[in-house]
Formats: sequence, structure tokens, C-alpha cells
Amino acid sequence: MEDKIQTIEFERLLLAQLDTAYNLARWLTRNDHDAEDLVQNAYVRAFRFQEGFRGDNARNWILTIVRHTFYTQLRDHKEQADDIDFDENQMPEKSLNDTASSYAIGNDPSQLIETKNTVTNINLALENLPTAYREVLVMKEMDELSYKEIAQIAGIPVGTVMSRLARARKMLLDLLTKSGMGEKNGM
Amino acid sequence: MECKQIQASLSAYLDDELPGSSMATISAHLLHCPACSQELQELSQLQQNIGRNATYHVAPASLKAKISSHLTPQHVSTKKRHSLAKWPWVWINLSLASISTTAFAAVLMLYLTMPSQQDVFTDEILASHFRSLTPGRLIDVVSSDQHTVKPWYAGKLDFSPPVQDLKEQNFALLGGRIDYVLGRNVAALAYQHNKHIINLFVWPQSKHDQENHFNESSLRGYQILQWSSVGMQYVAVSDLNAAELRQFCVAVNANNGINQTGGKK
Repeated sequence: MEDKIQTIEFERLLLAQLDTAYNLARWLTRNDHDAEDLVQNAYVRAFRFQEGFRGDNARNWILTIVRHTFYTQLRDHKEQADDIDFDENQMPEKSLNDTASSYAIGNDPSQLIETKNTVTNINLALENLPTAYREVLVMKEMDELSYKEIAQIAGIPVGTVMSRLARARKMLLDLLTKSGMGEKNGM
Repeated sequence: MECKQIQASLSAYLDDELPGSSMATISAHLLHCPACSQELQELSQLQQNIGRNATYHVAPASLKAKISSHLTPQHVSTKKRHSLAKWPWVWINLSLASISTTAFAAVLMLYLTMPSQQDVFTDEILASHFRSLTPGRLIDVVSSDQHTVKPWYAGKLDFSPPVQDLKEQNFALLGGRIDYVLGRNVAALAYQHNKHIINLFVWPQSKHDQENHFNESSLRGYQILQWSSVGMQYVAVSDLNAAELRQFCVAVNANNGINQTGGKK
């Protein structure tokens, strides 16, 4: 009975973090369908391994699991796909005619110039960052996590968080400048 | 050279994640370095750009529904539900029903065996009678003379009991004492009929006592007669048979009027 109550309370806590989890998943996978699958898998894991949750911060815990699930799936896919560089080549065929996908545009920066929309612009630029840089930037700017929290979630030293963020911003600025929209949009 | 180091730290400076000393150093440097200030401004604008324009993806409602309704019970509570469903509910229901029936029967039995007021009364009267039969307890004032016994009660009770010697009716007055029954002091008069001892308890009627009622009961071979007359409650108890005790009752009542008025003088 007590277990049941604990479980219900635990689920309530985790479900409250669904948007945060989905946002990170969406930025990791860069498409809605994969993001939904990822979040669902992550929640399955989270519910299954609820003993691992020490009750300090449900948000950081589910983010850790989302991220871990993502990289586990990635590794599995990689083994199947025989070492394709995920970050650059995941689903390249599919994205060719898909203008909403970052990949088509990412692989061809000239298309960025044609995009006048600031929102699309920054989104595309973000999606084109390598995952390792993108994830720290998303956690920092969108979820306003501290370096320490990001370090815990990503399992890397704080110093690495710091350098990756600096690098991520530099790359992002370059991408936006390259697109020709950087100056205009107040970069 | 210095600018390069500074610019490498500007990102963390923007996030306010540097130790205090470094923050101060950079702040000082920025005051007189337009290039680094420019760099910081770019970073700050980028930050605002992301904050303002980058999409924060909100989970679709369908996903939330999927996870909360579908996934939760299946992955967390299924095992418990399964084991619960496997329980022999028929037997559990049956045993619960029989337990409650038993409990109800027990309560009913307790209620039915609960002694009635009358039972409590006869028990107490009988106990008092038995107590009086232990040696030396029967009488405090030994006299067959009603004029000795009656005054003896004065000052010992808040009423004056009618006392009469019924020797002519073969109920000899042995004496009197004070007893305690039904929560009050009463006059207890002892009579003898042949070898039988009769205890007659007398006390004034209270408001809620019935007028002129007559009640006969027997317990463990003892007869108990209860009646009221002229504002007094009488209870006679003895091992006499019922007929003889009724005679006693009649004898007491026959003389009552005279003695009652005498008592009131």
C-alpha cells in the first residue's frame, strides 16, 4: 500500500516534468516522432528504476534518463548501421526533400540565407550544432540549469560543460553569420 | 594574449559561473577593452536570441495521455493488479460474510443475555437476603416488639418504615436492620415463619415507581414478592413457598393502614 502511494506520488512528480523531458528529447532527436518514442522509453525506464531516484530533483533525474536513453539507442543503432557518424549522417536520405528537417538545410547552408524567419533561423542553427554542444546549450538556455546540474546530467566535469558551452556559442554565432542573418538579427 | 584568455571565459562570465576573482578580473578588463566588450555583447545577444526565438518544444497531449494512462498502469502496477486479480475473491467474500454474520450473532447474543433491570433487582435482593442469613447479620435491633424496632430506625433512615408484629398470623417479628439495596438505604425487617426466615425490605416509593403494582418471581428456589402500598415499596424474600409468602404479603398489608397512620404520627 505504501509502495503504491509512493509510486503514484513518484509518477506525479515525473509527469510534471514531461515538457522539459520532451524539449530535450526533441532537441536531441530533432524530430517529433523520435522525440515521442524517446520520451516514452525514458519514462518506462524511469518508472521501472524508480528506486534509483533519491527524491532530490525529478527534473534533473528524468533529463538524465532521457539523455542516457538517447545515447543508448544511438549506440544500438550505430552497431546496426555499422558505424555511421550519427551527428552528421543520421537519416540523410529522408531529410533531402524535407525542408522542415534541419539536415537538408544543415548540409546546405545556402538554404539558411533564404530563410527570413528569425525563429526558423535560430532553430536551424541550433539543430546543426553537434549533439554534444547542442544538448548543453539547450539545457543551459532553455531550462536554465546551472553548470553543476548540466555536469551531473551529462556525466561530465563542470570544466567540460564550461568549454562546451563556450564552443557551442561560438559555433552558433558562426552558423548564424554564415547564414547572413546574424548581424541583422542582433548577433 | 590576454584578450584571448578573456574571450575564452566570456561565455562562463555571461552565465555568472566563474569564481568571484575571475569575474572581477574580467569585469576590469572589459572596462578598457572594446574588442572583448563587443564579444561579450555578441554572446549576450545570442543568449537573448535563443531565449526569445528558439522553440521550446512542448510535449503533445497525446504523449502525455499515452504515458500517464497507458504506460503507468502497465509498467508499474500491472504485477500488483495481476496478483490481486488472482486472489480467491469468492472465498474472501465468503469468509468476510461469515465473519460479519458471526460478529452480528455474538452482539445479538450479548444483547439478549444482558440482564434485565428485573434480573438485576432480584439478584440484588437475593444477595442481600443471603448476606443477612450469615451468622449475626440478620438483625441489628433484636426485638419482637414493633414499638422497639420502629423507633430504632429514627435518625438512621430518612423515612419511618411501618413495623408490625404479625405473630397472630404466624409471622413472628425477629427484629430489624438497615440494608443497602438498589442504591439506597432501606429498612430490612426479619420475620420468622416456622423455620423459615423472611426478609422484608421497605423504602418509600419514588415518583417514577408504579402505584400499587404487584410482582412475583422466584430464583434458585427463593420466592421474591414485590409490591407497593401507601407510598411504600415492599419486597419480601424467603425460601417459603409462593402461597405462604403471599399470605405474608396479605398479613403485612392488612395491618398496614393502622401502622402507617401510626408511623406518621
